Amino acid sequence: MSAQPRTPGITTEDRKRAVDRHRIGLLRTRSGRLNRFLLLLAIVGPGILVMLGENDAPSMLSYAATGSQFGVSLFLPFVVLTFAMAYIVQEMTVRLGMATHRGHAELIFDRFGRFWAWFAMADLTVGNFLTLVTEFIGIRAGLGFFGIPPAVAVSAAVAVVAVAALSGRYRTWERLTLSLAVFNLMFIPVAFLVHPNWGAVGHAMLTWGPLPGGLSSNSLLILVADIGATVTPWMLFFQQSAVADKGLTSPDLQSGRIDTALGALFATIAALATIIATVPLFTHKISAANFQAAQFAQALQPYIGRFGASLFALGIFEAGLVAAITISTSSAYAYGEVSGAAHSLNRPLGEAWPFYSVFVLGAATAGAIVLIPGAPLEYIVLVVNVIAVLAMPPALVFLYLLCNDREVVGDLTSSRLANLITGAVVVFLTVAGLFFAVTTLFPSLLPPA
Amino acid sequence: MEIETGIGGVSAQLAAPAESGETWVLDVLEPDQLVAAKEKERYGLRELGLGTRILMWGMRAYVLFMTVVVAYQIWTTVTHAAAGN
Repeated sequence: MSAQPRTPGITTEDRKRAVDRHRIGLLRTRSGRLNRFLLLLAIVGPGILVMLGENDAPSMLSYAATGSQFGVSLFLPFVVLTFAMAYIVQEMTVRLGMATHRGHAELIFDRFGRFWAWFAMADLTVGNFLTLVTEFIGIRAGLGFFGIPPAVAVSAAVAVVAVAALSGRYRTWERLTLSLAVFNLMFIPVAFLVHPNWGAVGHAMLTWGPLPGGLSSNSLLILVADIGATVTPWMLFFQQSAVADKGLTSPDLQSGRIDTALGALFATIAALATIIATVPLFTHKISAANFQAAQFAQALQPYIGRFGASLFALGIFEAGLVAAITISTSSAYAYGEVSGAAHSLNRPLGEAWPFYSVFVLGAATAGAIVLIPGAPLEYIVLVVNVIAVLAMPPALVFLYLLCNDREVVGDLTSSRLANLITGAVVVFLTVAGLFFAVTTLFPSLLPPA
Repeated sequence: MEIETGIGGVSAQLAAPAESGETWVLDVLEPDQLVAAKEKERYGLRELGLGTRILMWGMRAYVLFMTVVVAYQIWTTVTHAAAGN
């Protein structure tokens, strides 16, 4: 590209974002199905990535535990409900990002002040780091199925995260991560390999039942873990920042909603497929309560063959890898937004090295923890989805207030219906968390299993 | 302007703006999308009403309480595991 005169005040980040906006603007002026499709293709990204990113290693492990312990059950429609909640929540971040062109952390600092913002950051930092550790547990376990040593698996994953981070261009990062995220759908063929009873699946979806064993402390833990597998604070911070970094604006809202809905649809299908894939363990009464990722693949091998088990293990690896990228991105965006440092994937390394350092070093540290002999990894896996659920209500309150703040979002404020649904989601998550707390403190209230 | 059709034609025109200089950047981006504008203009603090403050403190208390519950759950799991060994 020939050297162009530089205009004062215009940064490299502005130029790269303008090229992407130019592309979208040109497509919008054209008619025809092909152009409409190309326009949608140019806009989709943050929504699909956030939803497939949330189908991460601990989430897929939760779904696998669900299928293996409860079979085809109430949890199938319940997972659909949780992704519907995820869509409602994430759509709000799309509006915020398009209206303000700023990330979520930045808006919380600006509108609520440092006192409240640091609480939100503490929740995010702790949740993101613990989740990142579990992604590397998934990566290690997934590749471990193929005999790849942990150090090699973790190093390779950190290298992929670094390559994505240092691509120097938002668009390149997004397309690279999207191409990896597609493999989340690998759980679909695994589900077909178990030859499920589709009649029972349809019956469970329509009747919201059965719940084998009834309501117990175990079913409640799975319920909370499945909620935490779908709606978590990092998703709010990630999607809003990605929308702003991509340069999407109000006219892109409809496509942004389609992007989020497509992501929710793909993620729901992959989650349901994972539950269905592990139903043989329930049918054959194989105790899978304490299984880790690779153990699920090994236990399934007699029923789906080596090929199916390999797909399952690869799926867990992919889930961990994509989430490692998206969660690291979320942490880096939040850090940049609150510190005032440059925080865009369109910035060169030299201009935004603190942003890229948080991005890559966070992943490298989480990966290193997984390699420490005797580290209490099983406890981290146990609590990470629960922590996500309990940190979500306060995050949603910030989101609710920002989306109803006319000074911030202008005409894109939430409708009355959206507010009602968001309020219901907050109440639902809070009650689920409290119910979990009560049964943890007073376990005799519910039967153990 | 003649509009090319097909993927090839579209790709050729989408690559980069034809204008020289950088005024096109200002034309393409919304004014508050520019980095300089975002650094200069900040949203001010909003007034928090009593109801909002109660809600936010309530949520904070909820998180602290639940953190203790999770810590308790980990502790019981660890002690049970240790007793099993």
